[in-house]
Amino acid sequence: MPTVSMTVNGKSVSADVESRTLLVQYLREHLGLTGTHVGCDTSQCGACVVHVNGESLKSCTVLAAQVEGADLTTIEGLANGDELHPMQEAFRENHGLQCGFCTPGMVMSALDLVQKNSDPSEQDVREWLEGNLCRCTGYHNIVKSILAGAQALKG
Amino acid sequence: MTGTGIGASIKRVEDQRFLTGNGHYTDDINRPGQGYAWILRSPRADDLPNFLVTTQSVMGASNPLEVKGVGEVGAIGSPPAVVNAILDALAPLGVEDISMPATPNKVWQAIHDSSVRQAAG
Amino acid sequence: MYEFNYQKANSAADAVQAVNSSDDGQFLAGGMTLIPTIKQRLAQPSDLIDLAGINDLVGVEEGEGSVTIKAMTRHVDVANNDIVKSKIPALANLADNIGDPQVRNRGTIGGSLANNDPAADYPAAVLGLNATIITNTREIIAEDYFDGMFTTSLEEGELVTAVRFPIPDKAAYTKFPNPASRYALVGVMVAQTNGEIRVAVTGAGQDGVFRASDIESALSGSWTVDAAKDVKMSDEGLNSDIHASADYRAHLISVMASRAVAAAG
Repeated sequence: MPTVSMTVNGKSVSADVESRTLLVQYLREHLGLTGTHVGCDTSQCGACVVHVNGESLKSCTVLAAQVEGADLTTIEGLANGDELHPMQEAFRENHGLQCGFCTPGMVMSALDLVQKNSDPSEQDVREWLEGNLCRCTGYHNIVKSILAGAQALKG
Repeated sequence: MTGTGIGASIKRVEDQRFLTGNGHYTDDINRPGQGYAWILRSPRADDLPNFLVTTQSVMGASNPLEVKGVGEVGAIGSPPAVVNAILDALAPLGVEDISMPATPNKVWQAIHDSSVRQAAG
Repeated sequence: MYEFNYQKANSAADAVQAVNSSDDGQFLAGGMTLIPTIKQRLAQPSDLIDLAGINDLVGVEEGEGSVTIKAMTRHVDVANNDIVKSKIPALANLADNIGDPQVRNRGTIGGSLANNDPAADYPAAVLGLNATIITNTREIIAEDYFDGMFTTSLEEGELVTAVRFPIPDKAAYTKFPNPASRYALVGVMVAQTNGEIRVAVTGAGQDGVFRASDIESALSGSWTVDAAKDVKMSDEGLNSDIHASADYRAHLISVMASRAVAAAG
């Protein structure tokens, strides 16, 4: 079995996996990072969004082998101990989650938006969330959270 | 805003773990040798008795129309409002009814059929 | 998902060699369609040859009256490229509205065109802008390239390396997305290039992308919103499914074409 190595949340990791191993399986089953979720498994819902070399992608539709050597950030890599990342704090403050299943993908997707557009409008946020589905909130508070998170990150 | 009351937001204790990827869902449980339920049995015909459904109507007492809503709260008012808005918009064309879901195709079909009818005169 | 051999190619020549020497190998571009297809066991390649590391297949170049986009250029990079934005803004806009941001961060123009999904956006751009598909062995004009849904004139082991788009005088792409999947129920590219008017339609036809010659004639007579809108398209050969009937799709073609004319100016 090929060995696939990468950096996840600042740590070098390596595992012998089958070629067909998806990135999300690599994270969840081989590294135990179950914060990245499998919702639809068909690249529509966005619960599996992680950052690879600073850009968001859907880890259910990428092979682990395709990101060999890359630098990844998952939801587990954002908080500093008990101190939430400003975007996570904004979700908490604005009640941007209910069951929490879509939340890791929402937060990771939001952070990719904010690094490309530090001052997004409500419309920018809504369009950006094209690939992240939520069945609880109706999106209202998620959009509010991301707008607040963007302002918090601007400082 | 401080204090609690209807409409006030409360920071939820469980959000800390949901936001940091530490929430646990059934898919996260993976015991050695764990099996998966691939087949869920549904009730069969012989599991159920014969039954007859009837309705008993009681007028609502809380409003002049004596109407009541049933079902999930958010879904009671909005579908009639949307359908009424569509019918209001299409009223000049003589459209009097449209069934849900009001897809773009269905709305177009209603407009199309009414203009065909009008042209036929 | 069935197991396969995965390998990275260092050059286009290496990739072609690897596919040709495998039992049933396939090129892997962004994987936005191929990986879901393999996951559903609708495909069982013996080998996947990843093109992601080949720098020669990435980038945009401006030529004499044309813009060439290399095959592994991602949708996000087409959407944000300065040459594309200034020379063919309709194409940048089309790329900016494919799928969602995460799909645009992975999906590529070459992968999309090799797949030729009947509801994909790029086929409308290639046919409407009269582009040429460049492969490792030859150049194929748009008319000869698309060959029915999910089918192209590419030979076994033939690799799309770039697409050359003539710079149009005016062009715009407008789509009516499926409310659920956001794929184009109907997408229309209208373009005027050196006096020639072309109208290409994706999402609607049973055989994939096609030219709406009735609208082309109408627009040749009068390049106006009304000219496009007044064309009554036939529903013959159009898809009919739970999302839209064939006659609704026919109607949408004229409407999308008229909106594209308005956007093109």
